Amino acid sequence: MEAIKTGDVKVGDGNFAAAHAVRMAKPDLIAIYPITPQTSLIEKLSQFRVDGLIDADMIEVEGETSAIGLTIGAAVAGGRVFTSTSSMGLNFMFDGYQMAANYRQPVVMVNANRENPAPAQISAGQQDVMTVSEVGWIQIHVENCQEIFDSVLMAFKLAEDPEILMPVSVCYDGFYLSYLREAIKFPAQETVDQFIPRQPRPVLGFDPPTFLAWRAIHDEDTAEYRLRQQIAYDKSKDKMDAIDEEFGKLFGRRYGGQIEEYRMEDAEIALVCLGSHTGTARVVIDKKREEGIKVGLVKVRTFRPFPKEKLAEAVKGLKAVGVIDRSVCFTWQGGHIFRDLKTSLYGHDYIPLVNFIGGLAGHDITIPLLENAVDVTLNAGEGKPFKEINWMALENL
Amino acid sequence: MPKNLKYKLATPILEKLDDELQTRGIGMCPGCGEELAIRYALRVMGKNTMVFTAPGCSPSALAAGTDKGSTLGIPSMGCYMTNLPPIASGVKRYLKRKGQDVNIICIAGDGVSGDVGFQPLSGAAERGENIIYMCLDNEAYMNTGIQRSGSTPRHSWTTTTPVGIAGRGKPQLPKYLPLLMALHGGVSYAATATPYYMEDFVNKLMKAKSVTDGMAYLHVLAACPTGWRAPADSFMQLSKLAVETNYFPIWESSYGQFRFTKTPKKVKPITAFTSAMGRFKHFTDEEIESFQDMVDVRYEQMQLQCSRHTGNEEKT
Repeated sequence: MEAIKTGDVKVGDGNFAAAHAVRMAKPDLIAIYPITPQTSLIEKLSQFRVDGLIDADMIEVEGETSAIGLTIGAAVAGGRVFTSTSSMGLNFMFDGYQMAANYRQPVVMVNANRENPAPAQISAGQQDVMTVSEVGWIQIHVENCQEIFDSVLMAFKLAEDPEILMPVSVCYDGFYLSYLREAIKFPAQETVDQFIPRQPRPVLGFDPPTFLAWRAIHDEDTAEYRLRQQIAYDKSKDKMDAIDEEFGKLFGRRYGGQIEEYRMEDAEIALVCLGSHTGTARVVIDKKREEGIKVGLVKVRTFRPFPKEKLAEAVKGLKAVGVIDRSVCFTWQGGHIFRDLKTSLYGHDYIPLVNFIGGLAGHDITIPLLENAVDVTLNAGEGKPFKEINWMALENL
Repeated sequence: MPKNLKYKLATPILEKLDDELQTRGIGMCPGCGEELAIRYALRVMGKNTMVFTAPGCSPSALAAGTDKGSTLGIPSMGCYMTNLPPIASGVKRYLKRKGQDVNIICIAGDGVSGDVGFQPLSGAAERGENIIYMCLDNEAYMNTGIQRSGSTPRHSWTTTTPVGIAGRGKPQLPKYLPLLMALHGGVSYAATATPYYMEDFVNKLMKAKSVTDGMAYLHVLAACPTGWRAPADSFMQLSKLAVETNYFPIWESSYGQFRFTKTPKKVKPITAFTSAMGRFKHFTDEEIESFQDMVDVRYEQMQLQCSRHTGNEEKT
């Protein structure tokens, strides 16, 4: 393989970006299992291994439950670990997935977002990650391939922070980002090493003999454990902002931490979204701005923990907000971001929230669809009656 | 030529084992055989050991403890039924990478090993993960109250295969897990054992401990007075009868070379075993015959495996 030097710019897809970031993070153990659309990531990691570019203990497991199991094991012993998955692979590892969170193990994972199978088969969507968002994993959602690279490094930093010690998942839209080829800028290995140094943490060991068990913690101890877990989870929000700042100083790029605001300075309405279609939304915002509509964009990066305070502050005083969701939650008909934003704004001054569901099963969230979303949001902001939940491209249903 | 394991012969052994690593007062049923098996397994493993368990009888009482602490004096971790071998393997791999040589032993029942957790166990065995896996087979989900498992023998009563007008115990033949495990390419050493033949059991534990290039799998018949509906003091007798009737063949496989390590001089009819327990008390003559057939077929399978071996068999 051709050597990559500091400052090099290479063209590669999202899986390429993730694989190189993992290589530079120097994990001790990587558990891999193929599933579309993350498979080319594990192929690249396997190639790195035979080319001697990566020193990790790599295991080709027989299923995702073992992938997460091996990473938990090595993490419990003190190692830096990585695995990746998608869709039903994520479903299949759900036992270990929530165990990693509950044992506070800094497992770092990449999920190439994909629809849950049935009825859709192999297609894009965010249903998989959104479905498992309630169990204590930190989720970083990204917009492009450079952000994938950078967020994987940030994920190791956040997961292994002694005050956090939680699993982190970098979620990028399968197909849209996993296979999209973009220019990726490579940092120096020393800068990466400086950014994610090894930090001591409690491990399973002999002096004194430690134990981790499901029956070891009872009653009020469990409540205390849960509360501490929640406090650390909340703390990760500020930590993410601080990490973004440090990343900016070292690497010269910043993403805003928990959220990023785009053209929000004098905005009267806004769109809120996350993932690959954020790029499309930027184009739409620029276009609408040219038409004289004061619309801005808020990009959610850490969907978990939900950036409640940051979002409430960002949309404060707006006339209306349109929320784009690429998944549905079976509470009411809306999407996950819509539900969480609406909950976050309870007790604040009323702002009309309009939900737009789209992009399921690989359906494109196009410029016209987002323009329409801006128009509908604008109407809602003018005090006209509006439909709360809108399924993009299914207006007649 | 088959490779040979380097280990110290166990005879005389029992006096020379390490201190007991379990504390007193663990919460097992009266007369439980698993407790004995684990006690000796850990004495062989010694203090340089980490124990990994998954939900079941012994883990509930042992590694996880009965109240706020583990009953073990060594590190232990409770895993799920579905991810025990991979977690243990992850720990082993990382410690090995750091240059630490620690014995990693998984202790679980037949439900974890053969049913819900079979895939990860099979995967770890195929990859040759360097862990020791001890399955304590009591032939049903005893911890949740005697429910049928893949290891429950044909016609046996359990609370989910009761005896009535429309059903007479478990209709299916069981899964013979130890042979399945021994046939995995990454299993360097596999053996069946019972604490009744303690020296044989301890020898096998020592061999398992000596494996450095793959998985060591031990399948221990854990006679269960509670679940098998037998008196609390019957563990030893049931274990002995299981071997003497060929119900539970005692063998080992070292790098694919099988041999019996105990064979009864005179094989007793299966009724000597089945009549000792309430779980078989409903048996008709036809069911006894069918049960005998299950035992014979299993034993013949093992004879076939062992016939390729040139070594001598020990006689009981």
